[in-house]
Amino acid sequence: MVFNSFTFLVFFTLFALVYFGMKGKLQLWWLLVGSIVFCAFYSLKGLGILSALIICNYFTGIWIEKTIKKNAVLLLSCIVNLGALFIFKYYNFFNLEFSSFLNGIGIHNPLPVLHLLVPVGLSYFILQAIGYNVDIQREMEPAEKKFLVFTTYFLYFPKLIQGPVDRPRNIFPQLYESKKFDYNRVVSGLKLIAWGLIKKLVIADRLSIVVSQVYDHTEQYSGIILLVAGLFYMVQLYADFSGYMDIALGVSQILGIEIMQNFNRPFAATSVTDFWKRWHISLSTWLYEYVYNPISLQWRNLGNWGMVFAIFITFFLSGLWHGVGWTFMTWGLINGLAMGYELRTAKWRKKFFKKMSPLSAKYLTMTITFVFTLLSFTFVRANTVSEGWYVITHLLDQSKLVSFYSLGLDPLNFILACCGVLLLLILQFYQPKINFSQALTSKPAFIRWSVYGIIALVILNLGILGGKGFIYAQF
Amino acid sequence: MDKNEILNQLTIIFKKIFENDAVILQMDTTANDVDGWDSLTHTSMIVEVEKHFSVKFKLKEVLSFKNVGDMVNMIHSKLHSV
Repeated sequence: MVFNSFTFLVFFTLFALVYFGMKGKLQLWWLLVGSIVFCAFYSLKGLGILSALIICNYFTGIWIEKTIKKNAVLLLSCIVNLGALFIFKYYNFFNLEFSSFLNGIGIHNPLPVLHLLVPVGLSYFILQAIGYNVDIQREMEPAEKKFLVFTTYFLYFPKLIQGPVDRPRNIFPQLYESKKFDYNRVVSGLKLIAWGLIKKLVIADRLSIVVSQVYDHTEQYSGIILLVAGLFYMVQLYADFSGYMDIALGVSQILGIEIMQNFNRPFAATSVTDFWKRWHISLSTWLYEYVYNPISLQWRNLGNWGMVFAIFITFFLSGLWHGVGWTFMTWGLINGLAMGYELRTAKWRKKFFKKMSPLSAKYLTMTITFVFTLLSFTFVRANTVSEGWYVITHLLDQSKLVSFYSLGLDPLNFILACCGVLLLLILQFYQPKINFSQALTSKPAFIRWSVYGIIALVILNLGILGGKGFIYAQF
Repeated sequence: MDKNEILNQLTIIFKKIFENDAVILQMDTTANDVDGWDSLTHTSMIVEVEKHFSVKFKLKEVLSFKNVGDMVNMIHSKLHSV
């Protein structure tokens, strides 16, 4: 039941109507029932696995709080969580690589291939569960004793499929409060949903047609075609993920629960380090809190090199978390290398850019970061590392150029796709001083409803309808 | 050394590490309040603080700092337990 489907529209409307008719514990139970139904739509087996993990984490949390052997119980909880993630997400990949290696030396691999369906949102679930247990081990947060609150948090449907990787400490207190119907909050949530649907259906899914055509036949293209496909993919990924986030934030806002924001104009970043403070913020901050920070502090006596190693490990794990395959690991390592470089050369670069005017320095660093990000995302979309490398090394090759209109979109739709890219990029670099959403609220009802009508028409007429899934859900 | 003095000395260290002369530290100051205090500069700052006060933090202690006040209290307790 993806957010951009008619099924979800019906589900959420019925769910919200009943939700606001309830209060207190009953409302929380209803939230849990809704989340269970939502999860069951994907897979009952997946729901069963997540439920088993919820029970494990509920008890390990309380156990860590009570015992003096906190490290040992934390280790146990990490083994359970990471073990589940490994079996469902990584086992077959590594088993296949292991088989290739053994075959190379003439030995048969005795390990079987597992045919398991990855439970929906497992990667996001595991990070939140580990963070929860670590916070208790660090004595920063108490264990949640109310099983109803605990379970509702982990199955909460707006963030179940692809995050944000929220922190239980932000949500638990909110689940204890009754939520009343608030007209302004609901309207604001609906606006976010509408903007998310435009990003997803009108922009991302239109761009995906060109991206798929080029990246699935990379060696048939070169030069500007590969560059446009790379740009389209970067914007598609942003529109798809941030579109999902807007819908998730909007849905959650309607229900009266604030979840973490995941984006802050990432393409306006002036360094790779800055980019990661703006892109998938909930994951970046999680990696900082639970991976980078402990490692870099542990190795602080090694000076800058300790931090470089910590960055490297963090980004390698980030790449691995994003997906199974060498392409994701390559992408993670490239980003780790870039951040390590930025750390080692911070003082030199500061001096260098001081010689320029602040505006020139800003636009130059923004352009460098933008190009780096575009090139590094090539490895996320490419089917293999060698195809990603082909794209990068053939950007200046003019031998395989074709018409833009032969890439799956007719001229009108291709121009619409370009307008979508331009719109999102302008909104990245130029932040309007006027908040359109708030400005609209103060306008007369006639104007407001006309705008809402136009937005609905745009989504229905220009959107690629068909309930296509979100990219980050596969991570 | 009392807590006010520790806070004053920390202010000097912060100005140097974050290359920001406008830093004014209070007990409730957090990373969000200081320009330049991010995940990368945090470790350098901890190293410099340990060197300056000749103290050594345990990993768990550093991770538990929620604001400057927590750090001041930790330094104070370490200096007075010697």
